[in-house]
Amino acid sequence: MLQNKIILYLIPLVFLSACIKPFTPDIDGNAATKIVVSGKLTDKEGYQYVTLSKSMLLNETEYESLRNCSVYIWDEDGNRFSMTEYSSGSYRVWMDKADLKVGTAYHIQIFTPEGDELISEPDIMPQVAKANYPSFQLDSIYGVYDKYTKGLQFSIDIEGNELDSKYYLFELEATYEHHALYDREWYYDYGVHHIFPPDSSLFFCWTTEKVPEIFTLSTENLAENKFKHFNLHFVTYHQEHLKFGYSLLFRQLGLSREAYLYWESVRLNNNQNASLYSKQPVDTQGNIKNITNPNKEVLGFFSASAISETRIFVEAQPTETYPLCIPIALDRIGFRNIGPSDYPAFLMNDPQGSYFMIWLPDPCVNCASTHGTTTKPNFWPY
Amino acid sequence: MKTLLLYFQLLWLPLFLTNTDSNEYISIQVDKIPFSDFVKIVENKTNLKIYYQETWIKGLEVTIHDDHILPIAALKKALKQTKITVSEWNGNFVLLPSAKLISSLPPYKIKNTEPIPKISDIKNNKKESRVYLKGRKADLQVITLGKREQASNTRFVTLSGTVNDAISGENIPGATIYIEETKKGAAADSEGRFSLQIKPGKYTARFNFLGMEEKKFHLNIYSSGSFNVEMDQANFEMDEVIVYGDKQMSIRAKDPGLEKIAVKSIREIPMMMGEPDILKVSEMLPGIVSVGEGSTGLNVRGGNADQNAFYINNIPIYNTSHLFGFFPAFNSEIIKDFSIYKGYIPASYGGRLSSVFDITTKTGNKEHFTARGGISPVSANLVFEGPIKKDKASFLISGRKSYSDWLLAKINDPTISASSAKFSDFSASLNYDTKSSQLNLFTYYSSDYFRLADLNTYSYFNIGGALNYGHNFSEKKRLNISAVGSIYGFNTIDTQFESTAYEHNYQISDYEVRAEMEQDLTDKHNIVYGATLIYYNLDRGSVNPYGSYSLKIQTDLGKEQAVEGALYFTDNYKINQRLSTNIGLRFGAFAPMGEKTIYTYFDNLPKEDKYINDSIQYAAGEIIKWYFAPDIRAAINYETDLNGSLKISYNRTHQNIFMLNNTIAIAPNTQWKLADYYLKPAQSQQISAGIFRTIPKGDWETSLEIFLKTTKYTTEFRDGADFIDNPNVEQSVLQGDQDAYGFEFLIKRSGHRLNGWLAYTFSRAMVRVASENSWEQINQGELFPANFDIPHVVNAMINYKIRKRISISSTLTYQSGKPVTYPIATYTLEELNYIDYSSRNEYRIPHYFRTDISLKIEGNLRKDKLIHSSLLLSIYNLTGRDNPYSVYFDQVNGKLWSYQYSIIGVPLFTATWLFKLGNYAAE
Repeated sequence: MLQNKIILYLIPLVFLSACIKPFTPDIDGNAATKIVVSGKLTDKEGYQYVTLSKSMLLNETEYESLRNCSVYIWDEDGNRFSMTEYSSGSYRVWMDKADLKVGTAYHIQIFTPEGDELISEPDIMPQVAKANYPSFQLDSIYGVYDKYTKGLQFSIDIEGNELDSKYYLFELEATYEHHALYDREWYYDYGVHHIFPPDSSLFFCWTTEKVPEIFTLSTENLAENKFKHFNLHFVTYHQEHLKFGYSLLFRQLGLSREAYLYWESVRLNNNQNASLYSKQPVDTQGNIKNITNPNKEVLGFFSASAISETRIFVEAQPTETYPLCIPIALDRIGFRNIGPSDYPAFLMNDPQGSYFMIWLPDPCVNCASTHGTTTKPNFWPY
Repeated sequence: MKTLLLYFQLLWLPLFLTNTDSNEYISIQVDKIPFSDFVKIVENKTNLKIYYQETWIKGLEVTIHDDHILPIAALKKALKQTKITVSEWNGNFVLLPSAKLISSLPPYKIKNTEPIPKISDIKNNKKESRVYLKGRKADLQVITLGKREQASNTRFVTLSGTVNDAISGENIPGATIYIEETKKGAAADSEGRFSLQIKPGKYTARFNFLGMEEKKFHLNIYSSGSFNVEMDQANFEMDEVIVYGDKQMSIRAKDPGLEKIAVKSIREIPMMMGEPDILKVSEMLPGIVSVGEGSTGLNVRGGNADQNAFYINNIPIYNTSHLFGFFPAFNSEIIKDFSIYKGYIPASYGGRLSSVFDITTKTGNKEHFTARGGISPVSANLVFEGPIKKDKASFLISGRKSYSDWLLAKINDPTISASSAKFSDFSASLNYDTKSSQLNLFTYYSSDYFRLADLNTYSYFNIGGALNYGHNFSEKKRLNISAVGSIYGFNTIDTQFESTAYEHNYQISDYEVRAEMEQDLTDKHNIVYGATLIYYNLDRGSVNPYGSYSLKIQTDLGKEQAVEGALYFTDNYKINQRLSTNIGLRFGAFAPMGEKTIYTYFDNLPKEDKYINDSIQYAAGEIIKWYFAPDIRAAINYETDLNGSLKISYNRTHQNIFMLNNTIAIAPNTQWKLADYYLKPAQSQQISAGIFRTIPKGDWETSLEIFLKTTKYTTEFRDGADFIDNPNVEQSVLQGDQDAYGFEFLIKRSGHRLNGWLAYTFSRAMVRVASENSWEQINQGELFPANFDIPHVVNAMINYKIRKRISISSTLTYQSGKPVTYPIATYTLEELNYIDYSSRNEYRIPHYFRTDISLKIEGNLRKDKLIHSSLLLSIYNLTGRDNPYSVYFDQVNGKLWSYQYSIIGVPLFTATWLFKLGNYAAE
């Protein structure tokens, strides 16, 4: 990583001639697919989830879930927790707090309809440091929108002790407020109608989504189980997320060393950089084996992790977003521009008590048209 | 002025008037006729041309009555009463007042105890060396060795001497002597000395060296004797060849797998940013492949980059590049001789598996003070040399420094403009020669510094010194003793995150003493034997927290000491006119020593901290383990005819030191590591065979060599392992097998206005790291292509001399794509998509193609000038092709994007100005 950064700078500064461009590799599309086991046990009481699927070849577009399997979670005391398939390829089991003990080893056992038995190495659930001290600061990155893009860099301080795991995985969940551009007041469906008072029910929305990145950290080589300003997610001012308020939930998971090495390797494989000193992708062997057919590789790592959460809220920022809503001026043929499938077609309000011949497509009057919900999260501060 | 014009005419006319007849007798019957009429009569009778000025013979009348007289005699008779002299010039006659035109050097005899007169004495004759330098034809002189009465037809006598550069006085290693009558030859050694056994008699001897004019002598040999030969630079031979044979003129006689590079030629080859790079030129040769643009690594015949040894005057250099590989660490201005051993490696070399790059530097001008240098867009260099005691002692000092920071300041980015990149190197050489002994003291220092704003700082250095002493006990016996020290170190400061900021210092030093004896048993039989002892002191340093907020644990990566010794013996025997052999034995021993703590691990479990079961303490100086390395080096050369030979070689080599590097190219914080308790020395066996032929018509040379190499205990990093924080390297490194094979084809042409070469290499390099234990496997124990497995490589170089002072060069490089591990599938974990990769190096990135061009313009060729300069204009990557250095993949919202990363994706134009004191030929 260090070398990557250096060379990324060195190349342009010395020669001003390095370049990165898209390229299409010639890849054999006939490799065998592999079973993927996705899931982890946490110390949080509730449902524990496991998803079984098949890997997708590059020329495939259909996600293939693995159905009708028998899935069991075992603890080191021989207690078995049988999972049920609640949707295609997704399995869950409710576990009480008493069943989820730090310091206990857990493993998963899976029987596939083809008769294969998969089993994972036991993973001991470690203790995790309390997630605390999240922060953000204005920063800029070398980004895709512009040469340098402003935004907020979110980070967290680690304050662990000697008993806590030194291996961390962070999962982030973002929630942000977004707005429609106009209230609903005038609309057309074979005739023009007026809503009064204007309808604001679809003006305010909130979207919650998982940040599509994983972050790993080890304090193994540090004097203390601490870390200042571990950078996590970066949100640019070009995104709508920061415009009306933004909240980030930090899920801090304590891992075993084996689990950390696994997640670190898949993270590195997913985040390759242009570099003079690039490394080979590493062989990411998980802890799950197919004991019926040992030659069949199984992807994934079944881990047991303690979890701690914290949340941070950011007030509205001076973003530079591009509007999702583009009003359409109706030309001389007027409402005949609008087909019945678009009814009711809302029109821009004229403060003089009428409307303009300007059609407001759905994103202009419905904040939930593409994503989000109008239900305000209970943690939202205002 | 008219005289000047006459001289000028004289220079050119002979080129067109060559059918003259000055040796036929003519009949002259004239009585008191004007001289001009007499000349016309002679010219009509002979087709000769006679040059003179009317004013010189004004009023002169000629009376001659002779039916059988040579033209020159008639002319002399006619001019008897004047001071006008008659000179012969290319078969014609030139008349000059009071001066004789010197068209050839006078023959002279030499006693076997005295050196022949120096050519430089003659060259200083102003009358002769008028106006312009010109390539001079070989002068046939007679050299007599011994006295007639001492001659014996039955016993051999020794013909010996030294070959020097006529201007600089430097000896010329590799210069060859060839006796036409016996078809025997010999090559001068590293001190320019040659020796040949021959029966008394009359012979014709030819001395040759690349870039020098051939010298030819008649030898009258009665007994043993020696003489000095001074060779002149081939002033207009700008199209000289780069690759050439060492032992003799012919490619058929050189050692298999040996390549040499003439430094002078490198300046004409297009180079990135105008910096001549001898290592980059070596990549144009068959069997040598670059790790990539802007990288310091070379892969020779399918070997890792750490399997090559680099020596400068016997000093090992552990980092051969500046600025991470973009520029060479060696100033080409000081290099005299550059040899690459990649096939047969003489037994005197040990410690590396694949090749030896041996650089010998110039020793300083013994005749006069001089300086030269060059200015390129990123650096300037200066070389100053001269005599301390004329003809005995000399010095040479060189320095080079970059000024690339101005480029950074131009870039409108606060991070980059706050950065700094600089390098420098320095060398000094003192040389003292007596008749029987030579002493050379050489020191070398190079340093690099790179700071990326307040994020990272890198610096590294090489420092070395060598004291080399040679003594000739007799013409047949010579002793060489060397004492060498070398230190390489680097410092890294990482301040990207204040919590993990650290500083790391690393240093390796080695000290070697070596004694070697060369002995000619007969004219056909030569032996070399010696001993060497090396002490390694390696400090992997400690990783220390940097700054008051860093939580980094101080980690001591440990120190290592080892001794390496070797005895070696080489027997070079010419069995008959066609068959010769080189047989070498080398017995090496390597022993890592304490003070050291070695951790032991439970059997059948991974070498990890948690599986440590005990430790062994070794006291300071205590031997931890002995490794013995019996090596064999052998070469057979069979000359099939006058134009061809067949060569076979076998090498068994060992290597006790290797690089810790887990990136494809060699990263700047790469550490060298000694073999230890766990990591065994690597060993390799190579067999190669080749056919070499010269095609006299057109001066073509061709060669075809095949090789097969197997290596054991090559080091590979475990998947995902790192070494920066790990003192126990055995936990990160695995050892496996490496197999390489291929063939190399070369065709080249030299000695013409248009010359160059074409090289094609096919080679494969495969690795297998297998074990019963899965944690000791890479790629599930299956065979996989090495990162540098590049099957097809084509290199071509063309040089065309447009005019005497202008030459144009172009190079072309094609390489198959490097192996790469591609994604073959995606999968979903925790709602995020991940990439599943193919087995290691199953695919290849697109191929590499680049062509460069350069134009070299020399300043005028006047001899009497203070400074000679030349301008080198070059375009690197003429076509601007985006050659892929690497490819990588990014997954955004489940979709896989692939990108190609190119380092130099545009044509890169540079202008370099080179200068030196004196004229073109000055050194």
